[in-house]
Amino acid sequence: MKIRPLAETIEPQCGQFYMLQSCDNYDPLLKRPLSIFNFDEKYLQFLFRIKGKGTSYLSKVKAGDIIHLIGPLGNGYLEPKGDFIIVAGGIGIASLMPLLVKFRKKAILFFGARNSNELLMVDAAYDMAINSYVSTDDGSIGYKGLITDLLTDFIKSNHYSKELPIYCCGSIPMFKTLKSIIERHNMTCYASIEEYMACGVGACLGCVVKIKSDEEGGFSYKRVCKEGPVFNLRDLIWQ
Amino acid sequence: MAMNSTLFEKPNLSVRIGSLNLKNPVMTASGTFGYGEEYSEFLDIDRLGAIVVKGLSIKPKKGNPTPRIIETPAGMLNAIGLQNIGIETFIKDKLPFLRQFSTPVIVNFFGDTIDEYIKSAETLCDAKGVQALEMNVSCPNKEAGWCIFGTNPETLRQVVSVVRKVTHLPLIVKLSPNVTDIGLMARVVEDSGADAISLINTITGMCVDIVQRKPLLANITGGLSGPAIRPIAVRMVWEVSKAVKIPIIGMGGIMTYKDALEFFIVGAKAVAIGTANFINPCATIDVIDGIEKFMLEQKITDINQIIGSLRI
Ligand SMILES: Cc1cc2nc3c(=O)[nH]c(=O)nc-3n(C[C@H](O)[C@H](O)[C@H](O)COP(=O)(O)OP(=O)(O)OC[C@H]3O[C@@H](n4cnc5c(N)ncnc54)[C@H](O)[C@@H]3O)c2cc1C
Ligand SMILES: Cc1cc2nc3c(=O)[nH]c(=O)nc-3n(C[C@H](O)[C@H](O)[C@H](O)COP(=O)(O)O)c2cc1C
Ligand code: FES
Repeated sequence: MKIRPLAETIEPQCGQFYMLQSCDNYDPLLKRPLSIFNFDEKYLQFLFRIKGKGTSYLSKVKAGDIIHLIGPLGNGYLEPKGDFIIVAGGIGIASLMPLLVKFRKKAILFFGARNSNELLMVDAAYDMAINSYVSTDDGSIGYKGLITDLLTDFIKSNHYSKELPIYCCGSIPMFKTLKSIIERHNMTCYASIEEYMACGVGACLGCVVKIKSDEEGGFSYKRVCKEGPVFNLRDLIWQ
Repeated sequence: MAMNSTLFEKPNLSVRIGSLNLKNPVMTASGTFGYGEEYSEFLDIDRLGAIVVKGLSIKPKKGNPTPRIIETPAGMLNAIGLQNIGIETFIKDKLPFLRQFSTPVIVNFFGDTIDEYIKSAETLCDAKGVQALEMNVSCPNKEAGWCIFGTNPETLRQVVSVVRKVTHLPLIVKLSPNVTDIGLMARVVEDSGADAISLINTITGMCVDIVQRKPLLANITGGLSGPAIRPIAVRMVWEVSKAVKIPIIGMGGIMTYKDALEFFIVGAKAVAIGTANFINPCATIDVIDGIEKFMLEQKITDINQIIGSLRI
């Protein structure tokens, strides 16, 4: 979806997001968070999967319709200084695409999805990466299995890769596997994560995640919309 | 021309809540506006009637596990679990920011025990830049089997009376709607020395995942807010306005100035905007402008002419 802002906007950083709403009635009531997928001076572009009511309404928007949005919001990816690795799971590519665009031919891309239909924008991503590894759960394209398997093999056979930072966005099981990989090889990984949001600006405290800290219990709650959505994967704790 | 000039004069929007003068009757609802900073880049804080901050306690609180929020038809359930940074950190790190503005700061607070309520009120009273206190009594009492303070007239009387004794600041008590007789609770609060009443807090609700057969919120139940609760809130404000003489701050599902006007007509002297801030960060300002425009159109010169003007 491509949107032309009616008011002056701030240029988004890679990994930031917007809160969007396509209708004025009260159901759905809340705005929906979507990562910035692409942008230029004129347009903001979003890539999303239809999940429920909110995204379904957004998908029905026609040229000329008005969309309400707030953004850019959150802390995006710490920009890479040299080559880097991208690990995208399914629609997670939406949040990582600006990195591929901005740092052309600097990324080694690992892109996994359930099937070939969910490997969105794979050709464009392929063109912008140094090289690409693709997997699907059903084997309809690329390796049949998990993208993290391909990453593990790659790290084993390319020792230099342990020095490269990983940028990832995907599902919780993927993050959990990645976490064990980076801990084993002492690597750095920036992960963009999702949580239910109401305000998107840090006011409601609805979107928190557990982050390692010295506080009582060994963790503190941080807001995905404000301190995130990108966190250091090492610091994240899942129940 | 002179004849017409009165028509274009700005109507009076200022109201008094106890000894507190508000330039207009629109404030933020606790827990939906953070500590002010979060929304300061979206709107001019100085235009607000008052700012009510997220509920604070003596000790910082981590809050509940996630999911903490779930959207429902025209509303949302939340179970944040009163996460807050604690009164001390608030005074040190957040209050200096809020002191820059002319808008009065009302601090919402709560305690697990009566003692904690007293300590909170005492500490806040001494802090420069706190103009009024709002007591949240919709939280559980650790010393009485975790019953909600505000749903039992006796504990309500006890906790409000003791806090009244330790503070000279205007004391607003925020009622829980999860009771059978809201008028009775309001009278108890008035008798115990409160300067004003605010209502409603969220209505307890629940949502279930039908495939997993599990509650959708980690806390199982949560508080319902948003347009879905507005008719209940309007009815409760009306009942309370018949039961007490002290000023009422009405809230619950206000999205537009029209919603706010319903509350004034049934007797609220001020209103608070909660969930609407999440959908429209400028909701408070839009409500203020909308009320003013409505009054100009209707040739109403003073908001006090609308307050409690229900015709039956
Ligand atoms: C920072 C961030 C960036 C995102 N970027 C993208 C993107 O670029 N492309 C994309 O397709 N999706 C993205 N998502 C996920 C997207 O926000 C959800 O799919 C969407 O909110 C679902 O809304 P719905 O009404 O269609 O679904 P429903 O399941 O009906 O939604 C019900 C409620 O749950 C919330 N919800 C459900 N799933 C999610 C989820 N995964 N994350 C957060 N809230 C959820 C909804 O916001 C809504 O409040 C992002 C999420 C976050 C937090
Ligand atoms: C996310 C969220 C957090 C809240 N936190 C508090 C709180 O800390 N203290 C309190 O007294 N009320 C709290 N409330 C209740 C609101 O202040 C308000 O009473 C209620 O939401 C009804 O108004 P609304 O429908 O306009 O949101 C909270 C509400 C929401 C939605
Ligand atoms: S969505 Fe409200 S604090 Fe993050």
